[in-house]
Amino acid sequence: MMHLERKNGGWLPAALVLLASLAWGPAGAGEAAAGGRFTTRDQGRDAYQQILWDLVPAAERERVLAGRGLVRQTWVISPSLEPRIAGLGPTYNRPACISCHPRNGRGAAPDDQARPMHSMLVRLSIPGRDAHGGPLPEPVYGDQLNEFGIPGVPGEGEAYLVWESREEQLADGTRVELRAPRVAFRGLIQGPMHPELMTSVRVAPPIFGLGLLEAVPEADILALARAQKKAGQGVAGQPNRVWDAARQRQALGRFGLKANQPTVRQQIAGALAGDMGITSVLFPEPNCPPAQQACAAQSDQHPELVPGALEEMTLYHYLLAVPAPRNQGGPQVRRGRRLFAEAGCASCHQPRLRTGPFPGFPALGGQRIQPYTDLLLHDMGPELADGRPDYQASGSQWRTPPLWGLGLLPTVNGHGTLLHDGRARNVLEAILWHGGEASRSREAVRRLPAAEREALLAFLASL
Amino acid sequence: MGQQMNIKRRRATGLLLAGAAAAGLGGWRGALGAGERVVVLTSYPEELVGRFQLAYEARHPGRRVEILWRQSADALAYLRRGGQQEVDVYWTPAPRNFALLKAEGRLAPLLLDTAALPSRVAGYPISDPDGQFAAFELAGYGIAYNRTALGRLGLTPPRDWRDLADPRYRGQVELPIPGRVGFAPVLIEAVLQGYGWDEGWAVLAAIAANAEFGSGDSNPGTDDLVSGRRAARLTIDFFAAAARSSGASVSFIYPPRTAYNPAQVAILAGAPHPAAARDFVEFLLSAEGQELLLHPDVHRLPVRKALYEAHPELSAQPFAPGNLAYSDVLTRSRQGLVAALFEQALVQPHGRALPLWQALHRAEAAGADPAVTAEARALLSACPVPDAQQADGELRRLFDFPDRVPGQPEPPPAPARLAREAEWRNRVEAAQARAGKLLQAWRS
Ligand code: HEC
Ligand code: HEC
Repeated sequence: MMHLERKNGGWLPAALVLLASLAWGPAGAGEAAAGGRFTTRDQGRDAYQQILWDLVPAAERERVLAGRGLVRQTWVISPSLEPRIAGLGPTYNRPACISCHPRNGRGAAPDDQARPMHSMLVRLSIPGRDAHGGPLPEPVYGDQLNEFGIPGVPGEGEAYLVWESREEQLADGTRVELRAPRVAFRGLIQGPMHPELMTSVRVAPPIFGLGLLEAVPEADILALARAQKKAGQGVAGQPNRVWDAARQRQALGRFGLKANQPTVRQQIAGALAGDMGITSVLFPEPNCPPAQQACAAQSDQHPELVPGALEEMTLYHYLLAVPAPRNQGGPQVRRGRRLFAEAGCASCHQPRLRTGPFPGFPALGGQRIQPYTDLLLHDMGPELADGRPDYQASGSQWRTPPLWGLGLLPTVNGHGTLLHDGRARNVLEAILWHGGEASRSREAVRRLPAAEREALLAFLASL
Repeated sequence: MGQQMNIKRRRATGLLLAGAAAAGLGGWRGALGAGERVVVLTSYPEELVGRFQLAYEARHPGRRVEILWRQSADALAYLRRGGQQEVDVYWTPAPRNFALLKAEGRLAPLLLDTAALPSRVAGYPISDPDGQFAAFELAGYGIAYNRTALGRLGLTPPRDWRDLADPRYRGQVELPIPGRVGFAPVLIEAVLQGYGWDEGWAVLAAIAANAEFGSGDSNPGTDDLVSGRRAARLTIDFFAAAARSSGASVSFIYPPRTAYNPAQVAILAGAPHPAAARDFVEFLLSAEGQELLLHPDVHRLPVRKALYEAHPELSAQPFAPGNLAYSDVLTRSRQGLVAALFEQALVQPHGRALPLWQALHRAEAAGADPAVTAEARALLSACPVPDAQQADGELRRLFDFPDRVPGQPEPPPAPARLAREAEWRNRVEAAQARAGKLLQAWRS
């Protein structure tokens, strides 16, 4: 793999290859093990839900299972006979993690404006920053529109998408229709939003392999940013710095579509609070309107999440294995891999990283992984921009999403829609939306003859 | 940091929201119109609920299905607390709740066209004869097994519960505990009602001799079965079907006399959106709705007979002649008793029972005196409460599960109950001691 990239480096900057050789180490037996030891051969509908039980110490088994149960659980309104799963609302988006992350996979955008969002959300803010440098919430609706309320509490309103289409032409004459959404609201309970409202429409991404990404040393990520800058080829990733609520300090952002969360644990606590209205040790502030007597009288126990539950859910996330790539020896896939490097995709979608020591689950340390991300923010141009800054991320920057497991998305979730707002209906559309720092890559793909394009797509489908 | 600020702010918002709602200022719900919403209370998993929600909303642009999720005991308590004024449709696998809600006058007539919807399985009603609740789907009980693991053990696929008593299954079967695992009471009753009380217990005891007990609904059993670490598992069809659809080498069989337990749907008497409620229920029972049950993420058995002809790949035949007339009323009437017996007769003494069963298997294989082995087997298989006694209403009531109240601890067990359990334990120990003597020569 490495030699291919060296030999056919194209415009791939030397500094990147150099860095790559430092970080990747020798290719070898582990070639097809995208997640190091945490790689599953499952290629079916459960491919994103695999726990490799042999890697789980017997003493941790029950906790992993409990975490899985909570991630699959539909949460209930307090009071309940099941305090472990109670605390939903008073306002929320969906009652279960897997409503938005079905089969631990990806959500999708509604295809027409009559339909509500079922597996995505809209972040809200106005210009300015909060005390920790994060987005300043919309003054009335907060930083996320919660569409549902428990009985007696109205939902805040409904967001929907209006699609606009245009056509792109590839160099060989192939036409591709691209669609982009505009977000709009109806039934807003408190009337129109702030005049300077900024929105960010985000589809839920897959949630496997995240323990490995958390275990990538910060220094390696920062070194990638430096190397990209030094290469001077227009790709210049930037780390996000976000608020770490557990450590009470700024930290490198890794998770969320703008790398707006520092850890899996905080990401989960944020989802519980923001998407489901469930308080936890990290976000203990009750979400219960005091004037709602019924609600205030009912959910008086905060945090609502019972001790240990957040850790169990985090542990489950840590252990979710990465699907092994398939057909890696096939000539078309090999050609596609070369084209992926030649088109400069690999400078952001880093094929190889390694994990450092990881006390949270030591077995995750010391793994060579192939996530196809640099965990950095990139300016993706005006068309993908949401115009809503998120900590250090600008309105046009997004975190490079991992591409591991990409080819199994249709199998797992029955669709192939991609990008932060679900606009791309397949991989080719996703590539054609790349702008900004990735314009050059997009143009390289646009120029490819059909057979080469197919090879690139075959490679991506093999991941 | 965004989240926390957001929540603080929301407190203020909440005040306004509450005010707006109280003043009837309308808002998003008002904007859509009351008829455009249907509020559904369910305990179905998200995979099933989400699919029906999407399909229904796609058919009725603008209409919204709002889901309230509660487990059965919680749902009943909630509906009794006044939730019946907030909910349109109750949709869940909990026959007891439907029977109680009907008896308490909390349900409205469904007024369904039931021509294509059978109301009985093997003569036993699955829908309310008075039309206040109707069966929506059936859960079938049986044996899931791993084909590779069976091959390794040199076993052919099981056909009936009793096949799992074969000594070659030693340590390879997972048996759920009825007092601890949600689906287990019906499963254990499928065996007890299928064979009759005494023989049913004997079969359970013999299976337990090969089994590990599965605990908890979070259900590691499926993982163990998929990986082949266990060969067989007594379970509900849809657990196994999910594993099967994901490509694992798992199969499932329905024993000849097994339970098909209905899940039902009803409209609440105080439904705020009765017209939408009726429409939603009709959708659930329509050919289109019933077909959704066959989706690999859902895997439930439809109640529309026609679907069984249209899908010959369905191995379940709940409406075929000769099935067990499984009674959920009987199950409920002795659920606490069966759970307590299972715990005292099979779970607690498990460690001491295993070597005795191994000795028995050795003795039988070695062709020991059949009178001796038969007596030892009878001792190890006997239920401490024989058939004649289990029917005693007073005994059953002693073990009834108390209705729980949120936030309140369960009441301690009655002394009479503890005394009974002690009595059973003594009986089991005495039987084990006698069997141990009979099998002395074969014990290792
Ligand atoms: C309403 C839909 C929704 C619900 C419900 C939801 N999520 Fe998410 N999830 C998202 C979206 C959208 C993102 C991207 C967030 C962002 O960019 O800020 C996300 C991101 C994540 C990530 C980070 C993934 C990555 O690659 O960085 C994890 C982990 C996660 N969610 C876990 C959970 C868990 C656990 C729950 C349940 C407690 C949950 N989510 C509930 C929509 C949802
Ligand atoms: C400058 C960095 C950069 C380069 C170069 C780049 N990408 Fe991306 N890629 C991104 C970012 C950032 C996103 C997410 C954009 C969004 O969601 O709006 C993305 C998204 C994608 C996605 C969709 C993934 C998902 O989870 O939604 C695919 C597929 C993809 N890129 C493939 C490629 C290919 C193939 C190339 C080379 C032709 C390429 N990328 C080059 C940064 C880059």
